[in-house]
Amino acid sequence: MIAVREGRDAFLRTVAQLTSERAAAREIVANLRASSSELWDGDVPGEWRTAGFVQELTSVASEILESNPRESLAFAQLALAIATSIPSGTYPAPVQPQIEGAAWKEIGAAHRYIGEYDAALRAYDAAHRAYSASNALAHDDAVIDLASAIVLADLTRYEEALELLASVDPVLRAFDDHKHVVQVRQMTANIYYFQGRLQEARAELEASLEEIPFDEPYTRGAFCSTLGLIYGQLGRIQESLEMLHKARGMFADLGMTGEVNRTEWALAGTVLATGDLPKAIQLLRSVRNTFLSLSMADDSGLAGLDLADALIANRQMDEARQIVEDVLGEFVTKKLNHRAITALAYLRDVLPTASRPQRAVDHVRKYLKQLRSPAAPAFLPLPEE
Amino acid sequence: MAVELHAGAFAERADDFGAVYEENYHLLVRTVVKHYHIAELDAEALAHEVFLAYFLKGDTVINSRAWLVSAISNAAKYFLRRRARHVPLSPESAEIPDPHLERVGEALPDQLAGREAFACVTARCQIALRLRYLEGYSIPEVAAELNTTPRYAQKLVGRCLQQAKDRYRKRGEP
Repeated sequence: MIAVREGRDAFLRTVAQLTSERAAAREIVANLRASSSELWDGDVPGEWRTAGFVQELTSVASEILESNPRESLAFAQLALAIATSIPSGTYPAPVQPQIEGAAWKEIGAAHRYIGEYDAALRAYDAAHRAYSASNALAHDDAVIDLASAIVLADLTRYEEALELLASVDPVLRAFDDHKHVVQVRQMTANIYYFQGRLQEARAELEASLEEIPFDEPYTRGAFCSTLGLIYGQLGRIQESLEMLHKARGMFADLGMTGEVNRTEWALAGTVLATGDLPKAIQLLRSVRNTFLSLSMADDSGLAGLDLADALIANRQMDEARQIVEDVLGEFVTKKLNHRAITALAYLRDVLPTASRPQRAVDHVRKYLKQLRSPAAPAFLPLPEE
Repeated sequence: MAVELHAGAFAERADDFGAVYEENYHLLVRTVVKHYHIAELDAEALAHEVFLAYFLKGDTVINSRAWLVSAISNAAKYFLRRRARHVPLSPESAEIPDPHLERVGEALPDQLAGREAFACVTARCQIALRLRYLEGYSIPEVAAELNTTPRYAQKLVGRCLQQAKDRYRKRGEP
């Protein structure tokens, strides 16, 4: 009984230390947001080198991921830098590996948002390495596997992603981690969708929708958004619009700019299917501009091609050409994938004379989506008609 | 007032964790000893690791009991897997010195100095040196992580090494 009490007291002393460190860090970290660029080249004050400080930085990185992924990345990297400088043996296991792994997790998430998929996978590998230093971090490890599966799906490595999701599902269920289990089902449905297995994706989402607790509006929003997209493609336009508006409202309430924008992108697709071209064009312009302001170059480029497509359908050829020119310029300025630049340059050159310009836009758009996979082939122009 | 509120909030939180600890500690230790045949001392250490991991999860755990039981089972399995990798030494090996310890007199102070040197550089250098030397990132990978060119990343790593060397030397000066 005495041993239990001693163990309990030691545990509570660590809890007290971490809690007070975190409370002390809160105001400093809030102030850092205004001057984050300067602190990189200064010395790290000794009082910052605490697990609580690292946790607070990681938490801010997570909070701002949606609204500012670049800044989120900087905060997560700073968290990692500070975690690195904490002398070993300062905390009992598993505090050090857990805070380092959590910083890597946020680094991975930020890279994914910016479209830097290889960097995201490297960060997740590093998180696994950190977690493997402790016996007690199986849950954190499983969450990293789920995050990796999301990146693999982004890279169109669907079979690997599905395999990872299948392996992680029972682990998360054993922890009764309903939230992440639902995300596994959602991701599985997304992959079915990307593979063109629309009915399987719809069935997976409809079955899971009832399982989502009402206090998880993000997950509910994500389900509604994807289901809306799928209904749109299955021709169930009214149900699609209802779902997408519902999702948009939930994300807006949560202040998740990136997700609101992705939902509006899906909404534009459904509006396009109804034939309301001016409305779709207006939505796509706004979606593209928001992606640009969030430094999400890949997505702003793809939204630009959707916009060009809608403009061509609306017989606004000059504006469509201008959009393609703009997207090309952005890719060149940001030194993005040279094969994407080749494909966009081809589109710019071919648009003025193409007999079926939408076919050319579609060809390049599909190629840009393929480019997320490192195994994507070199760009080939459409065969001449 | 804020401090009082914070102190109150902490006392409440600590009570919560204390209660979770007391409700589950024996169950966790018993599970490890009974199901995984691990010595009680190791089982207690595993239980403490699990409790801290649980605390660091904050409020994200909905079902504490299920989470803790699953965490301890996974921790016990991981512990056994790691232990299974330990191979007993042959009796004659007692006579042979461990080749890893051949230069321990020189290597150990070097390692300690390396760690200390890491700790006295700027945040930018911490991350650059960590990526390059602890995580094994290539220079192009460091560049991608820091959103810069490989040439600048190469320079940065070199400059950070120099900074670590200079500052560590300075610390040793009277």
